[in-house]
Amino acid sequence: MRRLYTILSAGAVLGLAGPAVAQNPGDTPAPAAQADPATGSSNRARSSQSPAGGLAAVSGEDAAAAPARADGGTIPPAELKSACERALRDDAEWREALGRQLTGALLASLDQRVDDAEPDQPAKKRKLEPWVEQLSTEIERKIHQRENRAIQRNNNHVIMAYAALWALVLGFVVFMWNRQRALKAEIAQLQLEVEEAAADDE
Amino acid sequence: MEFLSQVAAVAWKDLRVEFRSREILYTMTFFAAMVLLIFSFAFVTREGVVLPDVIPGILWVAVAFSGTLGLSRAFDRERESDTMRGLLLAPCSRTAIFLGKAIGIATFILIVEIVVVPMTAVLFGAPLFDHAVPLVLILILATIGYSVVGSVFAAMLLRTRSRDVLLPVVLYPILVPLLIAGTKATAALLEGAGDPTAVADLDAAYFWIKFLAVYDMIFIATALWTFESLVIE
Amino acid sequence: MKQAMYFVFAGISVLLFFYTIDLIFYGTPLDAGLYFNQKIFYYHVPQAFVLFLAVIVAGVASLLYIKRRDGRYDDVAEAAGEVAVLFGAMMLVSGSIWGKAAWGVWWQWDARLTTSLLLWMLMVGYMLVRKYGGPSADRLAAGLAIFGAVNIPLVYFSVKIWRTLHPEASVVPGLQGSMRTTFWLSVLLFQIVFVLLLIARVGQSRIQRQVREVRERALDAGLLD
Repeated sequence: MRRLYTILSAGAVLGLAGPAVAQNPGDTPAPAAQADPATGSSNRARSSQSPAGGLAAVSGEDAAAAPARADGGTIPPAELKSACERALRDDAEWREALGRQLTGALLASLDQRVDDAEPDQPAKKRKLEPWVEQLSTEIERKIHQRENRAIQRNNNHVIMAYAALWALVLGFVVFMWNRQRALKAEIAQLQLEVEEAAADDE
Repeated sequence: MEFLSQVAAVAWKDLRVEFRSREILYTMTFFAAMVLLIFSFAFVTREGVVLPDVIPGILWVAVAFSGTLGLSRAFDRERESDTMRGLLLAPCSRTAIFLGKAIGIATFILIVEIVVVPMTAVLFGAPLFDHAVPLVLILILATIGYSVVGSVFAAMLLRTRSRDVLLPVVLYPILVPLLIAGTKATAALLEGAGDPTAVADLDAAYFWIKFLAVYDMIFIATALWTFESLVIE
Repeated sequence: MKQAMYFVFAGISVLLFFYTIDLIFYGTPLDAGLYFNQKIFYYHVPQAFVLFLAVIVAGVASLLYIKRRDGRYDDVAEAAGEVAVLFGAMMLVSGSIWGKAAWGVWWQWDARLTTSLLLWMLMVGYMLVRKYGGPSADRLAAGLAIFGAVNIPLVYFSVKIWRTLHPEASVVPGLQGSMRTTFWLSVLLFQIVFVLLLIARVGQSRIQRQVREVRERALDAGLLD
């Protein structure tokens, strides 16, 4: 019996936890982007939004051509990457300049997006930096989820109502059962009395 | 024609008996006046004025309560002197007796209303008599309905032990549409009281008057159809 | 044979109970306005149907009783009255809870609520009269039931013209898909339960009446004192 309970509760936990776990990856596309705005340039570079497009807008002709070596061959991407990382690490000035360029590019692309979207977008949204906007959407979504869960948890009160209603029916059935018993007793009593009276008469 | 004279005879007998002692009339009227007074305490605002919206309700509650009192007393009287048997032995149809008694009760209630309605108008400053014709129609129709339904049940309860308590229990649920109609009609007549430019809602009043008429017809028909089987002594 | 049929229907109602619960909780979508609380509607409206049906049964049975003087009609009327009180109470409770969820108040004086409350109180009065009405209680109760049943449409119209708050021209015709099947299955469930309870109660009334009659006859015959 205990084993059955363990299996059932494990199953229940998995059944309940599963969907909760399964939701997370799909919902949060770039939590990493909010990590630390001051030194977040590297994160922004990796962000999925539209850095590629932004960079392309800023340095269009450069991005189009593959980086070339002095001797005519192309530089492999891995080398470029490590060179870039070294530069970001060592050269603070360049990092900041790059950061500003990227921010500018992102904002520009966001502005572009906003302009392309519905005309009645709130003006606030254009001004907010993208990570702030992401934060606020994230918070809104979490609040919605919490409210939904609260509303759905309200099923307790419907369940109690249903239980009360059927309890009334059962109460009535019990009441009738008792009355039936009393009736049976009354009939038996009557039978006894009549038999007695008939016996007396004889 | 004989039927009508039988009805008239029974009604006249009731009225004559009553006018000798006037017991029912006085007690009913006093009780209705007391109810008005009690409600005036209950519904008075801080400024010492009774809310104008509740005046029709007060009036009809007073009529309803005193009506029940009169009904039970009138039929009690029959039971006490055992005159019911005499009535039933008389060579007239049960229906005539029933209608005669109903007319008697209706007269009592109307007399009470003749006292109570002006009293309401005076005590609560309600301009009830500005539209006298609809008011009289409302009172007459409601009284007819009340007395017919009340007579059926009071007659059924004649020999029951807990009749005093059971009469309201059975009568009021049936009388609810009548009381609603009476109250709403009176309220429609009183609409805009105190505001010289406001006009009473006569359309609503006449709608409720028609409703009262329908109620009366339906219940007179039901009473006539079923009371013979219901009231057997 | 009759007993067997009764138990078959009792079994059907139990199955239907579980099936409707399953449907209500898992088979119907959440209502856009009320989310979960709307599900009370699947119980509340069928109970109102049963109340009205029970009152009509009581009224018709009472009429037949006083016209034909057959005690069996009185049994049916008594049973219908009691079951009407039960289902009326259930309807008022579930309606009250739904009202709190939907309108924020436990009670409102609109046409449907006032009519149903009045109807319920009429049936409570009916039971009171049956119990305390003395020897002629059956006739008195019959009169009340007849007049009460005739009264229902009048009360409804008078209150309706007076106030309107309840969703007018009900929601029921507009139901779609799974909500509709669940709803009508719920109606079926409550109707079956009503009939089962009614039959059981009629049986009891009949026994009570027969015991009474036997006792009277024995008294008349001088057998008992």
